[in-house]
Parts: sequence; C-alpha cells; structure tokens
Amino acid sequence: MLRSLLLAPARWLTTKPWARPFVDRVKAAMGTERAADWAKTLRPRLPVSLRWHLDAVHAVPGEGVFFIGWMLDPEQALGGFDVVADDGSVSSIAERWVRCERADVLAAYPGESRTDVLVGFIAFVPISRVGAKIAVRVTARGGATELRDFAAAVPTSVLEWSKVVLSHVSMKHPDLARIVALHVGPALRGLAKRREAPPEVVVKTFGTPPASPEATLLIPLYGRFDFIRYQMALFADDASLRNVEVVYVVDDPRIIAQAMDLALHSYEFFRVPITVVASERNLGFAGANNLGARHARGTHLVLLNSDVMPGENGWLPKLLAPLADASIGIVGARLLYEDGTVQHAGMKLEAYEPWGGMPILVHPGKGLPASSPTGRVVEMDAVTGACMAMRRDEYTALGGLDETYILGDFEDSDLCVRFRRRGKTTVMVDDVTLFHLERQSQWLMPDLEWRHKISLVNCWQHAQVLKGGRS
Amino acid sequence: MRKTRVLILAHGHPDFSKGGAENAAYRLFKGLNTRHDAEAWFVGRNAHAGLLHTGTPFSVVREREFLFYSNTDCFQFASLDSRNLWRDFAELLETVRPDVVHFHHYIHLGIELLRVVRNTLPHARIVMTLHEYLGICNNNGQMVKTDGTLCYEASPSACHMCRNDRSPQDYHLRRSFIGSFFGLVDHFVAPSHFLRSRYTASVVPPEKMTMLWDAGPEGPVAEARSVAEGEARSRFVFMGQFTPYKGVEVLLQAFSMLPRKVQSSARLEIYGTGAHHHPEAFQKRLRRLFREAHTNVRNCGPYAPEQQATILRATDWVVVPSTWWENAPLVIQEAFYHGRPVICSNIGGMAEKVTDGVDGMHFPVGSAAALADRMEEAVTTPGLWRRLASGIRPTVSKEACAESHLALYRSLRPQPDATAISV
Repeated sequence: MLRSLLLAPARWLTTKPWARPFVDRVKAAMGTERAADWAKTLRPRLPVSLRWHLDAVHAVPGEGVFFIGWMLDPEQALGGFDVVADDGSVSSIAERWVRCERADVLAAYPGESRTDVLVGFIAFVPISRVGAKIAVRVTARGGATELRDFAAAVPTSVLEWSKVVLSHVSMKHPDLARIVALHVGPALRGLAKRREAPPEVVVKTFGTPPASPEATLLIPLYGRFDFIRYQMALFADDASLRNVEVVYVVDDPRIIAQAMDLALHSYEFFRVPITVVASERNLGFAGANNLGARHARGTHLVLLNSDVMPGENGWLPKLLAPLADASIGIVGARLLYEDGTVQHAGMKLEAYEPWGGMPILVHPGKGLPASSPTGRVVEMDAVTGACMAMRRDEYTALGGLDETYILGDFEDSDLCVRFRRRGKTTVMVDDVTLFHLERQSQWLMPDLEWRHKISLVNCWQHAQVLKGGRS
Repeated sequence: MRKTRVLILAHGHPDFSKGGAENAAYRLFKGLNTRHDAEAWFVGRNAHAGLLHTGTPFSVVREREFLFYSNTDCFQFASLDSRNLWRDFAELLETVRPDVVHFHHYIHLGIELLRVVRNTLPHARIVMTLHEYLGICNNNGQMVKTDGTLCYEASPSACHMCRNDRSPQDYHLRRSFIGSFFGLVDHFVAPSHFLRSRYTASVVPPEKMTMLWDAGPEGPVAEARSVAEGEARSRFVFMGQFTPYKGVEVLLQAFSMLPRKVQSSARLEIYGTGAHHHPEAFQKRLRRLFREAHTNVRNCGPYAPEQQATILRATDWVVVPSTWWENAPLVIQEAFYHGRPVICSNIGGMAEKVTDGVDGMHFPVGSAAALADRMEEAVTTPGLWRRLASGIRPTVSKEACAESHLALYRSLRPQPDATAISV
C-alpha cells in the first residue's frame, strides 16, 4: 500500500515529456537493469486474480505460433491476450483460443477458480513472420498490461509434438472439428510441410532389370524385411512379371543391411532382379513411395505393400488392363485376408457427423466373404495404397503422394482426388487374387487415442483437398 | 536305348536312419539299378557332423550313394542362407546330369533344393514322393491336433487355433511359400490314396499326383509260427517308434482289458524306442503302463531290421494302433510280406492298406476296448487267422516298384512353364 502510494507520483512523472531528462538521469544512476525493473513497477499491474502461464510456445515457421497454456481469471478481468509482432502488429490469442480442461492447474490453485471452468487453452495464431522470440501481451479491462517475451522453438519431431498437442484435445470436445480446422490441423500441416534435407540414399541393384519395364512394383519395407523372400517365391514363376521391375524402398535404418543381404540371396535364388533404395531416415509411407518412384523406370507404377501376396499368377496384367482407357487414372484390386474375408474392395467417401460432417472413407464389402469375381471394372472414390496401379508419368506430374499426412492415412484417397481433378477416375478390379496379410497389431499398440486424433487431423486435411483448396 | 538317369534324394540314408521314407527311397534306388535302361544315384541327408568333411557337404557312402549335410527350420523347411549348399548341390547335379530328380522328402534337406534343380537343370523332370502331411500341417505333419483329435482340413485359422505360436498370416505365408516350390514339381507320388486325397484337396492339383506303391521288403520269409493242435493264434507284436501318435498306450490298455483267460494264454511283444524324444508326460504314462502291464506283455526294446523275420517267426498278429492317419506304413508291408494279418486303426493309410475281414481287422481309432475285442476275437475264433493270412496279397517288389516309377518318369514331359501356385 505504502509502496504504491510512493510510486504513484513517479509513475505520473514518467508519462510527462517535460520530466524525461529527470527520469533519464534517475535511470542512468540506477543502472539499466534496475531501471527496467523500476519502469516495470511503474506500469499498472494486472489484478492478482488474473494468473496465466504458457507451457509451450512453438513456432511453425512461415505459418504462425502454437500456444499451450492456462489462465485463471475468476473476476473476468481479461481485456486482451495478444501476440505482438516485431513490426508492432497485434494478433489476438483470446479471440481464437480453445479452452480445455486442466485439472493440474485447478489442483495447484485450490479455491481460485470454479472447478467447472476450462482453464487451459491451446491456440494456433497465424503470423507470417515468426521470429525466435515471441512477445505476448495480457491486458486487463482497467488497461493494465503485462508483456512477456518467449523463446519460440520449432518442434523437432512432428509426431512427438502432435502427441503433446493432442493430449490437450478431448475427442468428446463439442468443438472438435473447429479445433482441428483452426488450430491443430494448420499447425501440424505447417510443420509436416517443412522439407527436411533430403535423406542419404543408397541404391543397389541385384541382377539386371528389364531395359524398359512395363511396370515398376514399388514396395516399401519398414520393420519386417522377410516379406522379400515370400514375395519373390510368388513372383519367380509368374511369366507375366518378366518385363517388370521390382523396387524395394527401405527407410528403416535398423534393417537396411539385412534387407540388402536378403535381396542378394533372393536374387541369386529366385532370379528375379531386385533394386533396393535405402534411406537412412524414415520417410513415412508417402515419402518412401515418392523416393522409390524417383528411381522407378516402369511405364506403370504399382504401389504394393510388402505383405500383399499374390494367390495366383497373372495378376498384374489384369490389374493394368483398365489403364488402356485413358480416362482411368488409378486401378485398385480386391484384397483378401488369409481366411478369404474381404480386406479391401475400394473405398467410398461418406460425411461423418461426429466430425462436423467431414467426409471419412468407408470400406464397402470389407469383412464379407469373397464372392466370385465379376470381372467388372467398378468406379470408386478411392482405393487403398496397399495396392494401386497408375501411369508413372501421371503420378510424377501430380507430385506423387502428399507427404504431409501423418502415419499413413488418407494419402491414397488424396491422390485419387487429385487424379479425379485432372479427369482421371479411380476404379477397382475383383478378378485378381491378392492376399493382404494385414496384422491387427495396431489395435494393441499404445497411443490408440492419439492415433484416433491423428486420423481426425488427416481427415480434416483430406477434406480441404476435396473442397479444392489444394491440388 | 539311352539309360534314364535318376537322382533320388531322401532326408536320411538307411545305413544311418531307419525310417519308412528312407527305406522306400532306397529300395526304389536299388530297384532302378537292377535295370539295363536306368541308372540311379542316391543322396541321403547327413545328420551326423562326425561324418562331415571340411569344405563340402558331401560324403560318400558307397558307389553312387552320398550323404549331404544340411539343415532347415521346421516351419517352412527353408535353409535360405545356405548359399554354399546350393552351389555344391548344383555342382552335383551338373556332374550326374540326371533326367529325373526324385525327392522323397524336403525336411532337413531344404525345400529350396527343388528350385536349385530347376535353376540348374531346366529340363530335368522333378518328382516328389510325400510320406506325411508336413506340407499341410505344422503339428509334425500328422494332421492330428495338439489336443489329440484328428484334423480333417488345414486352414490358416484352424492351424492357428491348433498351434497358436504362429499367426494365421504366418500359416498363409507357410502354405504359399511351400506351394511356390511344389509348383516346380512336375509330378507327385503318393504311396497311399489317402495321402493323395489330402494333398489334392489342398496344395497339389489332382492331375499332378499319382498313387504308386512303395517297394516292400526282401529276403527270406518268416514261416508261420508252428502251433500245436488246438493252440490258439495268440501272439501279438507291435513294432515301431514310441511316439504319442503310434498308439502304444492304446495297445497296452487294450491288453489289460482282455478277459483274464485270454490274457493268460496271449503274448504281446513290444519292439520300439524313442520315447525320450517326446514330452515327459508321455514318457511317464508309458512307463506306468509298462509297469502295470500283465506279465505276458514284454517291452523288448529297439530292434534292427535284420531281426524282423526272427521276431515275426514267433508271432501271429501285427498290431498297428496308430492314432494319426499314417500313410503307407512300412510295418504293414513287412507284416504282409511275412504273411501276418494286421489289426489296425480304422483310419487313413492303415484302413486303406488293410482290408477289414480280408487280410486283417480294423478297430475304431483310439479305442482300447474295441482293440481288446478284436484281440479276443483273434485268439478265440477258430480258423480266423488262417483265413485272414490267406487273404494277404503279395507286396510290391523293388523291381515292380522301379518299373512303375520308370513308366511315370517317362510319361512326364519337361514343362515349359509352371503356372499355377496353389494357395
């Protein structure tokens, strides 16, 4: 009380231009640092009940800043909560933020807030020039302000970062779709878009692949590499694969040496030439395929999962046949589980109300017993990237798969959408027997909830493409 | 006429390993070499490191007979990392230059050898005789489930439920991987119709598999046991491995269920060994059954093939109580060669090779009580033994076996392209 009484005239002095020389002399006498402290005390202070903290300030270069924090404001004293850019322009955090539960904060300040209030927040604030330092200003209704500087770090791992951010978002949040559309989605996409330096790549070819292959089978390997031997056993005696190039993309440094060794063995034994493109860094499903496509020479490109196994010879010509029609861009195949259950028979887009009506991909026919093949070519909204054939030049012209989707989801449909925009449809054939030995282990993996949320983010991104926002 | 050159492979050499498949392969080899229009070589897998030379997987047994040292896993029978083995094997193929390579097995040898043959000698005909159900069944190829019940059909799901240390996906891969090598075989031989039906229902196209008899034994025939006037035909024998699938337990239980009067006049001799390769629980049960058995039951231990005639000379009936399907059991051929009727389980290869009421008797598989009834009948029915013994048809000689195989080899034309993978 006494202190504020004493400081009141001093504060008044600092606002008067005629007193500047005096104030400056005082500052010089006190030393700059202490003067700054002193000056601070001169500004009106925020009400003590207005507490706030930023847990994280993350820069998304070229896009904006992502904040995670909390604010206790029982007296509703907040007037403004902003980012102040270097050039003085102001962007509001409080006009955009999404409030979320923070039980830890309520526990740390018992009695300072009603417990049913969402005291946490996340906010993505678009700012075109993001520096290393971010100034955040809180203004109380009475005009008192507080300005703090924060170091804005660029997250090194998008995946890890997404786990932190998404842990603040409840799947039951009524504004879920908006949270993704305004905050998590743009920030994650902005981070994912950043191109890392190209990975170190080693390419080895075992045997002599055909000079001008009709198709390249492009097969990413991650984790397991023994599938090479099974696929080779099933490719070796298929005469319709003679003019085909097989390219394995290994983007898992743990298995590169073993995969190379098995490729050599398999070539010597099965006599199917194999090209291995090895990246010392994991590139994700889209990245691995795009890398492989840059080394492919086939007229056609067939994206194939390593756990897709033919059940009979002659499957490839049937898969490529529809591409004789120039209006068809992508061909997928009916895939079966090992017990004959349909694993994949094309995908359809369907508005999903819980996610604000964003289109999700549904799998008609999945889980049913495989009926006898009709031999018909059926148009689909999308087909799975586990097995899709197209013309290589068209794939390349479209820039391949979009690498900004996280964890391999929706990018196959994304590609189909972009083909369709160029007038090329996606179709499905059912007269080939291919097994997809997809393991159900993903449901046993940790972070299931996080995976769901990532799926939602991917779904939002995909919806943007559908709207025509991006090509 | 140019001689047909045949290279026969088996997972063992009968000098060192006495299994039925090794014997069948070896007799065919011997039979082919009695002919002027054929020449045969025999390669048996060497299981003994002590017989191995440095720097080569081969060691010579005698003229045209080799041992080949190799090893495989027991799920897919692959020895994929054995690049040197393939090279050495290819060298043997190039030296012998056979017209026909006849596999009698792939376990331990490596299923990849089929492709080494195809790679090295594109025009050689590849023939394979199957002796059990390993290509279909991961439970020791017995088509018996781990809970002891009989298996009628394999599938990735059913196999996973039987042995869940492998996933359904693993079973699919196993089947298609083995299937890809089976696709290189020009023709399969089944020693029984039963085995043929099991394979043609799953991994082998029917037109690519023929039933041909294995060659039976040779040498002096054990004459019928001389019995006094009115003496019953009451001597039974079991000859085989002590495994949970051979039914020794059923037989021991059956003897203990015989009426006391029959027991005291009957004899049961059990020849065999090998229980120590099997689970402790099985060994324990077997020890207890032997301990509690009637004094007329004798555990005679292992026997050499040379003793067979001597053993049979002292017996009337051969019992084959296997609880798995069997294929073409050697012991049935041996019993028939020496004129002994067989009492066997009523399933699979046993039921096929023994005709109930003609050259032997069937009992419901696994039923000790039913086997006891048959044994009682065998002892107490006058004239039954003579009638069944006279119903026995002669077994196939190695010469006849060679004849039928050579006819098969010559009917096969080298195929330009193997097309179907059966999955």
